[in-house]
Amino acid sequence: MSALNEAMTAVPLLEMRGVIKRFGGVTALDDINLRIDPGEVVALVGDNGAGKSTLSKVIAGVLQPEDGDVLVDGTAHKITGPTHARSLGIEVVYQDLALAPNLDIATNLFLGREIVRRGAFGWLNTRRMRAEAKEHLDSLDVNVPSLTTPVERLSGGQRQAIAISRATYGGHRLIVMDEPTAALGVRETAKVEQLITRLSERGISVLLVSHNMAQVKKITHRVLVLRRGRLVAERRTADVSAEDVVSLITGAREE
Amino acid sequence: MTSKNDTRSGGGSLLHRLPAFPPWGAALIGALLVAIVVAIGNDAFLTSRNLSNIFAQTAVLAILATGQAFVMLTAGIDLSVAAVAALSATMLGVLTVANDLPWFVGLVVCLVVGAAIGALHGVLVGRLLLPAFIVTLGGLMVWRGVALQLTGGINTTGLADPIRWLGRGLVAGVPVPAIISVLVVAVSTLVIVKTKFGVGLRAIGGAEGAAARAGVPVLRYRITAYVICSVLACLGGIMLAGRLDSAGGNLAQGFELQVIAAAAIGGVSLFGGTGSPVGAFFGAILIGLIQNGMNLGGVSPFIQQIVSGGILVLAVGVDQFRKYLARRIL
Repeated sequence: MSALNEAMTAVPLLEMRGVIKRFGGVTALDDINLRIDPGEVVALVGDNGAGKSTLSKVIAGVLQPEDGDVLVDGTAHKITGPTHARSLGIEVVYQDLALAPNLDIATNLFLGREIVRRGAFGWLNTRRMRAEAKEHLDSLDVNVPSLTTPVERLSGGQRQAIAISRATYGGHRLIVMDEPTAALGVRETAKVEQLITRLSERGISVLLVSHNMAQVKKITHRVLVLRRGRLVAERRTADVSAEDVVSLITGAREE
Repeated sequence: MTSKNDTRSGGGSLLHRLPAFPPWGAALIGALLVAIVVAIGNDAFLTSRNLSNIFAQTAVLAILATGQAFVMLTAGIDLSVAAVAALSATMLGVLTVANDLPWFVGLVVCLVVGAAIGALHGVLVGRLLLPAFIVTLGGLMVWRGVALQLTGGINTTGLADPIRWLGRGLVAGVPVPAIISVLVVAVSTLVIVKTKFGVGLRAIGGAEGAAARAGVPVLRYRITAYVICSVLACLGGIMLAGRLDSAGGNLAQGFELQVIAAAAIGGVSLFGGTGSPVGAFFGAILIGLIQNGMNLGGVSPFIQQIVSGGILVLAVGVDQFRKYLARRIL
């Protein structure tokens, strides 16, 4: 772990200390200690039932841990819910994307946080939303046919890009992504991977839940391996091969 | 249609352009076609008296269909609108004629009761998660039953002049109900297209889970949609009673089916998420024109019913075809 200690000078964006989550008698997360630095892309891997979603949900504020501390920017927070997590700069892109297929791209980007004109009626400032949506998508190099296209007419990769752009809008600094490319083809996967790399270059951290070892090798800086609720290994991606990660997941190789 | 690129230029055949039409395009074109056919076939059609008759008669249908559009956008349905309209008219009669209350007091009480009924429907659907179809089917029976019970099934006549004016008055030769319906449709369309509430309603109908996670207040918006629907039903019921100068529990029997047909013909999806009051308005106009044309042509009411049913299925079929093309081409 000496190589990792070098990076421990700056304040981490997110830190977990001794986090425990139980469901009845089952310990879903057992003494989790981890840190995610600004701009880091961290892979979260593990077999089914290893606790990946539980860990994502604790970070997203959907679940509250029984014990341990969650620190954001070095300050311990008791994250009460997704809205609280969002206010701390943490956003989640769910597997089902949480987009409204019948609404257009700009409307989806601003859903639930529309820009309204002054007054009590919630009168939309459509022009400003379109302009800001365009600016935001351009800054992330996301190409879409037109902002007024309903999301249902987009390809899977474009939808994923919209969901990720949506998550990063409004100054979110840590994006948790649950298998963002699971349903995508080769080219679309490559586009989403480029997008994740761009987020990292802009200082946005990504926690990437993935089963795709090639992807983990290609775009992440660090790998966290979960097995039966325990964080059994933490490696710099550059230091391990895809095969190593697989054996860590299955337990064929121990620390 | 095999290549994805040959539609880029925006030109192409009518078939390729079809997806770009708004969902209410079919109803508008249908209404124009019917108007032309009837106008050619019958001299009585294009008289100002007949036209203002059509607008007066379809105004109530358009107002109820507009309310229905709010509920249908959330992927719900309100079968109780005609019963609520009848209850509101009956109450107005009881309050203002039998009990001599001023007409505006009666009007306000009726609209407030309508709002309460809508809120009850909304809570049962949105909070207790009962199916909208069942809740409002129950409402259909209950509210009409209450209306009949209020007067023992007897109609009240001799409504106040301002109430009758709402149903049959004229301003500069234009029927008052037509003016009211255009205002209701215009304001409702702006609300649905241009406000946070409208976006929220469409999001709920398109993907309720996504809307909730994005922070749309799903329950509050859904209840509001049912409230708007019931209040507009009350307004329509009062206008109808004003036009007939007769208010009772039998008012607008079976009218809910025409209301839902008008909205559906106008491109308001029964599955939620798409459509607008403009569509409901054109749907109502189309139904009104067809009925008027067939009345003028002496078509029997039995045949009229068959034709109306066929047109409902045809219109929704055209809209489905449009969506299918949109998916294939774009």
